[in-house]
Amino acid sequence: MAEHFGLKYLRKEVLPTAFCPGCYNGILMNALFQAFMELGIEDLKRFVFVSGIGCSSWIPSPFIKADSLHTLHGRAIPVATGVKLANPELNVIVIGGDGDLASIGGNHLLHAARRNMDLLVIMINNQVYGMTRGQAAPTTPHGMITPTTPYGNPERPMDVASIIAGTNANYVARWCISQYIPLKNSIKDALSRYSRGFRFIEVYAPCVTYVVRREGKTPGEKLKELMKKCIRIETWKNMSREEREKHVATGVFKAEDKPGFIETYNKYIAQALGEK
Amino acid sequence: MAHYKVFINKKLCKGCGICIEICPRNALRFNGINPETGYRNPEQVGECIGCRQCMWYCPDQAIVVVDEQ
Amino acid sequence: MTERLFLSGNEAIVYGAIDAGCRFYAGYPITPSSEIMHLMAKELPRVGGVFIQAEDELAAINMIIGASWAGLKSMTATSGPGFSLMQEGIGYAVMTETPLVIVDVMRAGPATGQATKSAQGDLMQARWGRHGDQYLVVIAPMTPQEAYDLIIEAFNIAEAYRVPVVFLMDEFIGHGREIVVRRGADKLVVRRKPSDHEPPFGSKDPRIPPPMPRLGEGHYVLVTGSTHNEWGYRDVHGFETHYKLVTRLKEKIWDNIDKIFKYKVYGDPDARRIIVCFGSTCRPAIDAAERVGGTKVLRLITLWPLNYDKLAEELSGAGKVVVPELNLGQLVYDVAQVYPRSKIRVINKVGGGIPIYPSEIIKVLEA
Repeated sequence: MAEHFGLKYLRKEVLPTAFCPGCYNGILMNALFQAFMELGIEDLKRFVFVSGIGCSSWIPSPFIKADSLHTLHGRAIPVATGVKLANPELNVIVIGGDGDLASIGGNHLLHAARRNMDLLVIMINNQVYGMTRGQAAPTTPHGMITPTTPYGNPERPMDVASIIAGTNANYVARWCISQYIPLKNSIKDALSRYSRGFRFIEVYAPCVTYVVRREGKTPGEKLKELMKKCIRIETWKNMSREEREKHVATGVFKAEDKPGFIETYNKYIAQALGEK
Repeated sequence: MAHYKVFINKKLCKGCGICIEICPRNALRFNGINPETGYRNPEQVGECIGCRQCMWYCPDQAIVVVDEQ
Repeated sequence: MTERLFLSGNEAIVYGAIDAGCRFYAGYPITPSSEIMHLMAKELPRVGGVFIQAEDELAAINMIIGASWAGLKSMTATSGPGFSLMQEGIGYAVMTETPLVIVDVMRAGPATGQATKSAQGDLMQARWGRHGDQYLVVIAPMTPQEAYDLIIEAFNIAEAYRVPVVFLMDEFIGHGREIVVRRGADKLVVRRKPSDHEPPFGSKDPRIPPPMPRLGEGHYVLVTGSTHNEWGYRDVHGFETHYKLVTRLKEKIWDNIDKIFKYKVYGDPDARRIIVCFGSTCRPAIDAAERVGGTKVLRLITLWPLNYDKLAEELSGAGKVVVPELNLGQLVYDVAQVYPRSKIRVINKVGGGIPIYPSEIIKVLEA
């Protein structure tokens, strides 16, 4: 029997994954692995995955067959920064959730983006804290009922991709988990055409247990709904305010190829030490 | 003529049903419970056009679509 | 390459760290440790190292953890408030057996306290600041020269035992400026890499720390702060895995106490009047002992793990024990473990940047 293209990047002995049936984390894994495959990456020896705490942080640890650091809640980006600075030859990828990267680790996300640190950060926005039973996160929709917002969420969600696009980051995109091909191509771009500086991909993928099933939908039904709900940012911009709130703006928010932190740092050091 | 076949890895399948719902040809259907995992597993019952959406959207790397031509 | 330099303790730390092979520094500015950061920013690139100013102390400690796994000897320096913020990261380093050196230049706390004024209030925090059972090494220098010498020792201990080492230095030493001989390291511990089939998080003999793989070399290492087995796989339910892991992490330090624990005796070694001290209070203590005679000074270099048997041995037959501290009494709890608390005379002083003077110690010695 033919083998799935993703299996060679996985630790087969720990499969199936620990994720709930239908969890969209696995779809992101497919897109990531297909991007690796299409880029001709045979194994992940020269890749380091860094994650924090939360369901999506379990994607690399222990499932992906690569070096991985499963760090403290919110601290994946600083650990990844340390790894990359200490050995710039390594490809360093951070995978984490919205709670981990945008809430408790929000400051690190902003500053790594500001520095244009040479990292690829994939943030799975599942709208809640899935691992701890679906509490409200900074990305939870306004009015949504969760264990910590039993009367409806009084806060409005954070548009993380737009915020990061406002920094010095090189590449910023947002895709829905239902947009498999553009998501896969975007990951490919972030590893090839835009291989330096800070690259941020937000993946809109509601938690199947605490968002989708609470809505009374199956993961498949929600996926089909997302296919209609997620539209290109160009279309979204021309919509009325009410229409906008019903849709998710997706696409590439920013794509530049400025020198990343490491190149700039090395240039300054070389200039200073060369002049002596 | 291409002839596509959908293989389900029953060890990895968690029976979420995404593949069944996503298939544009309704070519997949649940077929009983896998006693080893306790999950329902799908099987191919209709013609596959090879769009591979079931493979991409399977969160458990449990589906392979093969062109048998 | 011996050089005679006129350095503050903070500056001496930088040269000692570089001579110990430190090649990565991440930090956040904080008084009274900032000079370490300034000089590191200047000196590290000259030896091929990397310096980064982090957005906060949480980032700083986690950056050095990442750099250490990528293969560089790494350190950070901070002071009270920053040290508090780093605690969770230090706990992660203990759990993942990541060699690090963390310098805490002690100022008067709690909270913001007196940022520029010396203190010794972080002793208990250095040992016990993290949640859960965890053991690391704490070292305290007495002079700028020792800041240089002992920071090299700190790196060697960190690498040899795969453990974070806290370098606890009073502000007086950090900002005190003296002649420091930059003599280079006598020996440098080289990190042991795993051979085939050698697990990175386990060893049969708990006294022998496991080897440490380097990222990017095909070991496919799994590093996690969750309870893990010897190959790094999480086990967040089982009793056995957790108990085995945390006891090994303890034994790795405590069963090597003879190699790690260091102290020094000054004055009259047979005297029954004994002063027990660490850090900046040692020099006034030694001075007082020399002036009045008939006094022994027991000066702790390693503050954790603390060899209570040795302490008891040194204090056996003591008539009077004096513990001067720049805090409201922390080291005294250790002394009280081996000597009746009611017979211990304490001198506690903190704030305003005022040291404990020899005359104050003499007064207590002669009372």
